[in-house]
Amino acid sequence: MSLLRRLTASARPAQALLEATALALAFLYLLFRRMESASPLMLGNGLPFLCALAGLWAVWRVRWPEGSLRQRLLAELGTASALSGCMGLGVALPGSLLGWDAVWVRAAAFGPQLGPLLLVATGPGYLLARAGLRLWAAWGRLRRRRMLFAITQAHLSVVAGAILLLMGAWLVTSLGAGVYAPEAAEPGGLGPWLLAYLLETVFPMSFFVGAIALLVLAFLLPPSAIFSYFVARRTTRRLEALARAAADLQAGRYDIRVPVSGEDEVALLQGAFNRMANQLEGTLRDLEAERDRVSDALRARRELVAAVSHELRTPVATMRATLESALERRTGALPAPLSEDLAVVGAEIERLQRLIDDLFTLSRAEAHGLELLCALIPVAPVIQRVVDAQARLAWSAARVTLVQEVTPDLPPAWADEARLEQCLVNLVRNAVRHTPPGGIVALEARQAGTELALAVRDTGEGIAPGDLPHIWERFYRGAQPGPDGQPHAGLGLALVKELVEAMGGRATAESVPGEGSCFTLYLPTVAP
Amino acid sequence: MMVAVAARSHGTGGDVGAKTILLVEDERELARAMARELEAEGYAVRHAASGEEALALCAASRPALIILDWMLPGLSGLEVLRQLRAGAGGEAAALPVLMVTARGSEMDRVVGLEVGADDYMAKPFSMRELIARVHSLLRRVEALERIMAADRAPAPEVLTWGGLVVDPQAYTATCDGTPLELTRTELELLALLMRHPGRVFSRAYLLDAIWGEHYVAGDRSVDNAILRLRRKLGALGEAVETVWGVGYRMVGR
Repeated sequence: MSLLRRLTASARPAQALLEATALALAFLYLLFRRMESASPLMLGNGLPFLCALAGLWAVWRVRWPEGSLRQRLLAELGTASALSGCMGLGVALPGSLLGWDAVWVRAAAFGPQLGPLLLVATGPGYLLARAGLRLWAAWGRLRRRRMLFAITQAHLSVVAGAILLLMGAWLVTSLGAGVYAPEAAEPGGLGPWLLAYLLETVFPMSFFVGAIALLVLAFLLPPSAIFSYFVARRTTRRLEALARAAADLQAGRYDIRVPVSGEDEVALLQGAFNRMANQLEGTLRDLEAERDRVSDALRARRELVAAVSHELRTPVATMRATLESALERRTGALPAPLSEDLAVVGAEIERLQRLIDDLFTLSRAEAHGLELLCALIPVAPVIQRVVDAQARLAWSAARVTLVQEVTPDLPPAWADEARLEQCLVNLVRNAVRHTPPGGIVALEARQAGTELALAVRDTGEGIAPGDLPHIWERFYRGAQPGPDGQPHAGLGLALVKELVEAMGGRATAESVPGEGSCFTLYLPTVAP
Repeated sequence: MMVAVAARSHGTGGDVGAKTILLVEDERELARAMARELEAEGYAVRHAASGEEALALCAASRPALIILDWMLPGLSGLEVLRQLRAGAGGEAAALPVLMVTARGSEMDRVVGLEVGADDYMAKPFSMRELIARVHSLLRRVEALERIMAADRAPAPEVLTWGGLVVDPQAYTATCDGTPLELTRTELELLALLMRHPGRVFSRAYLLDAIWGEHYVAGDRSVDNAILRLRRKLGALGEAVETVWGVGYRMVGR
């Protein structure tokens, strides 16, 4: 079986044609050898059988071509013409040279002209058979997909099978015994008898039966299809409705139901579908209600914790402020025991404050952390917005001029627009804070290799070399405060670094004390 | 509602009523404690309990600093700050603002700074810290004003840079002993640059410091003056450097 499958439609056309030609030649030789003892009927059937044998061999062996419809059609046409050529040049020509053409010259039905013509006609025959196989495969696909055609085929097979059975019986009983049975007294043993049997009985009978069957099928197909359509329509319609309903159910329309019609298996299926949909809808509704309840409860709890910790802060702040003020200013006026008691109250208030802080931290930990929405964005508008928003404030509050230098035609940068703006604002405000009046802060954007560099440059007091490695650390404050006596913010730069690195970029800082500093953000220009 | 807290002099902070602080806080008791503490330091305190009131008071009382609570009834502190910076409080757009809030989370802090708060304190805070920060913010403003006043006033001493000698008091300038023919503006410009070698002065700042309120010409007057100055200084003209196209400085020696 596996050998048969391996041989089926597996050979290259050239190989299959070679095989077919060899087979035809071999059979021609066999016929030639047996010519003397052959009956006229045998001789007459010999050539068509040879053509059928070679043609069907090619049909069976040639593999299916691939490519577009046109390519496949051309390939099959080529194979068919090649087959005709093989039969003409490879069988008819050597046959006539070797004298084997006596097989068809002597046969009453053909003669010297018609014989080679029949051989050449194998090509078109091949094409017809291949087309028939294709048609059969297409029919098979249709049958698998539509119930209508499955029923049509079942119906046809019953009718055709009955007709073929009747015909077979008729052939064997009334005609077959008299006309087609080989003569039992044929001399020469089993081999010649088999050949004679094949050519005189089996081949013509198969041909006859096959032709009748095709004819019957051609006549029966349309009425049978119409009949099947009416038989199947009721069932297929209900099944199609069920399939649509199931698809709707899957898409989330849980209120879909199908009408139950009749009492057959399809009706049972419809009933089962409706019950399943009912149950599904009920379960889903319960789940949704449960989910809403849970999320409501969670939200309420979060809000409660946040509200409580917030509400607690203000009274604690008031108590602490009042008590501190009292202890600071009136220590002399208070009796010593009361002063000590107030100190205890103060310590307890501080403890309460720590507890509230813990509570607040806990409620925050449940909320989502920093979520970045990165995309490829043009940076020029972002820089424009930052300059527009900060220039006036920088001038009015510190007499610092804010300028921008953006290289034209920059590629977009991979960043979260709002967060990037936040980073730039932080850097600008930091630069303005550390620049003496009259100074300049420049926001630059340029390409740096595969990255985009956004730099905030100032003409400020600069950063001491000892401080430079630590400026990105959280809560780091420079060794000496700025010129205004105010310490650095301690948080802004750490946040900038965290955000930029979360976007897939990096942040650097350089500085010359007395000349100014430059903070640069490098952002990728392609999505990661 | 407006609570005017009477100024009481504890005498610890020096000149009473010299600086007014606008305190925006809706918690009456906390506001009272803060006001008492600030007044003890010698500041005059005006109190507003809502955002709308704060904006109105800001225009009326010309405070030196604003302490602003975030969570207010009606207009939030953040919105007040945004409107102030946008110019709603008249000349208060550049005022130092100290945000005070119970929302101590990091992101809140960054948002506050971004909108234009100069500093930020989370409740509850210690009074000492509040006072320290108020002092610090006011010192910064004072430092700015001091520097600007010094830059506007003519330098008291004779300035030298290489062979260049400028006497701002006598309005004379010599280069290697040769007197230079400088206009008053050119001389003041040169003197300012020479007083702070290496420091950058933007065009806008120079206009403000030297031309003062009298200038009517556009930005070009600074550039033209620098151009003339460089020509008159001859070889030394290169010592006046252009920075990023918008500023000038005297290179360090």
